[in-house]
Amino acid sequence: MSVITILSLSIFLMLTNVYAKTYIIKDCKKNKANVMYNFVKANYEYQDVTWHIDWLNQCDQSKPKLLNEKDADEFRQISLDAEANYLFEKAEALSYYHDSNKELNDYTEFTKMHNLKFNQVKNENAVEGIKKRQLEKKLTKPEDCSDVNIKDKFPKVRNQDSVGWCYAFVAADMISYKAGFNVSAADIAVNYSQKFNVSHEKRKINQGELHEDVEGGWTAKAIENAAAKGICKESDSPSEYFVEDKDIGDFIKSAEDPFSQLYSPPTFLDAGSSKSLCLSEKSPFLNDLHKVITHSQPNNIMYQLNEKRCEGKRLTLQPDKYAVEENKGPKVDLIKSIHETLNKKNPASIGYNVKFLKDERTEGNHASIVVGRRYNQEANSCQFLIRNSWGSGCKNYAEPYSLQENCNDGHIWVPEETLHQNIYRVVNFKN
Amino acid sequence: MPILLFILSLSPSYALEKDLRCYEKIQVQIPTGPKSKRVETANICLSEKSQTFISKNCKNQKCLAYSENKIIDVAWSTVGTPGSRLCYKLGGVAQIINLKVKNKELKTDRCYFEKDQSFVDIGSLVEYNRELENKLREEL
Repeated sequence: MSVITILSLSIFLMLTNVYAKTYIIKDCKKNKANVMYNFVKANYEYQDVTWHIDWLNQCDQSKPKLLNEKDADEFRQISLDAEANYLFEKAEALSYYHDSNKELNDYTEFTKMHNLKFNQVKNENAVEGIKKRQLEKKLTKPEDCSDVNIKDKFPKVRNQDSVGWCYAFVAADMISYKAGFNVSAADIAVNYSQKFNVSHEKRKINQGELHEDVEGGWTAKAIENAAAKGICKESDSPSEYFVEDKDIGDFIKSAEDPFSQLYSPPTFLDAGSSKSLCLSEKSPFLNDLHKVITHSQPNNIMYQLNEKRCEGKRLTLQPDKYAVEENKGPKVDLIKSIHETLNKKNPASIGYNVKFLKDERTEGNHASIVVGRRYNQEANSCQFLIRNSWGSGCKNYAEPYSLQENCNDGHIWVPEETLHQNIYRVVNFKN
Repeated sequence: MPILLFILSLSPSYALEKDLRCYEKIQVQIPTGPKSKRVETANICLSEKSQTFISKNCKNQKCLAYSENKIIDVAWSTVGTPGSRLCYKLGGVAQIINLKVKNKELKTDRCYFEKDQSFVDIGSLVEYNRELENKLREEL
């Protein structure tokens, strides 16, 4: 290499470095530290956010800094491990479908670059396993992916709104499929909450904001609980607009709960618009109610409301008929189990990381049902039809799932390999 | 001409607004319980092509449904339907509604802002927010 080349290269590197610094400093002026901090906090356990941490270190003008040095170091290490793990799992999942050398290379390069030693022995063996697997054929051949579509055997897709009741909508849909009528997801959710002491209405106040305490649940337990207690029809206890202001007012007036004395019913009645007890964070009267609820025992207003709605209308089920089996993996077995269930023209409920349906950035546990299968010749891929509980629109989904060819009336076509990467649980009926 | 195109491309409303058709006194039904509903009328602009509807006072994006739509927290959508979650975080109320336009009924949802009575369908709320977020990410 000539002296001139070396000199030019040095000047170029120097300039790009200066530019990079200028760029970061320019961004600092824009006061985006809070957005960046929230991003780091929400994602450091799942992906590489070291660049974002460095940005915060340099640009955050808050006193004290939003992210202190000790936390920054800890976040950095966890984030690198998580990214390596994600890359590895991606390579492994894809190796069941096609050559995943590129993904494997991304993983090894990443671990080398950051000098990551974790799980090295295990991973060396696993890397060999991935390489070997790539020589074999696909997990699902086109002939194993015959068309199945049982979506019309279900009621119209519902909308869980902002509450974490996906598991209850799945449980209700699974039972509806067997029972032949539309089962209330709200009934299943509040009974689950009562039985397992998981409170949907109990919230904690954290830095002046209301936050949900516990919101989710497990599909298998919800089905078992519903089968034992009996179910209520959707028409008797609607799940999408669970509690209207007036209902709460009337209920409070008639209830014997200690907080009925503290509350003024006209405030409820004057509140006007439709706001669900379990959802609304902004309604002043619900915030008041929230305060009352969190200071009251028992904490079961929704349970009591639901019981009232289902009074004399609860239907008993034969628990044996609704017995379920839960499969927690390995992932290959979960995919096989979905195929077997679909071959019998039955729905398979799944627990999975929903980030791919949203934006690939924000993690979140979710439950849905697989109600169909097709082979997409163009993509050379088997696809599953997922029945979701986010309403019938498509704009809640990120591309390509929001596109017309993949989204229809609340159902989404998802490639098998994508589900393989993100799935962690399957729940099926035993019989 | 290229400058004009560039300016138009900066406005997220451009693509939306050219397809919008506005209607007066459209019936909006809001289910309020197992067998009850509240009926209101509203002036609504619709785009069948982009499956969007907004209250008429949002036509130029000068309403709370747009002005309040900002990046609040990247983790806004970890639980629940992403759009409903976002709606509450922005200060609106997510509602499931039935719209009756030209004798056709449509079950849909909206994010409603009581203060100026503006609203936008929840899907479009998400789309707009995603646009803002992507823009910020590019800048960062």
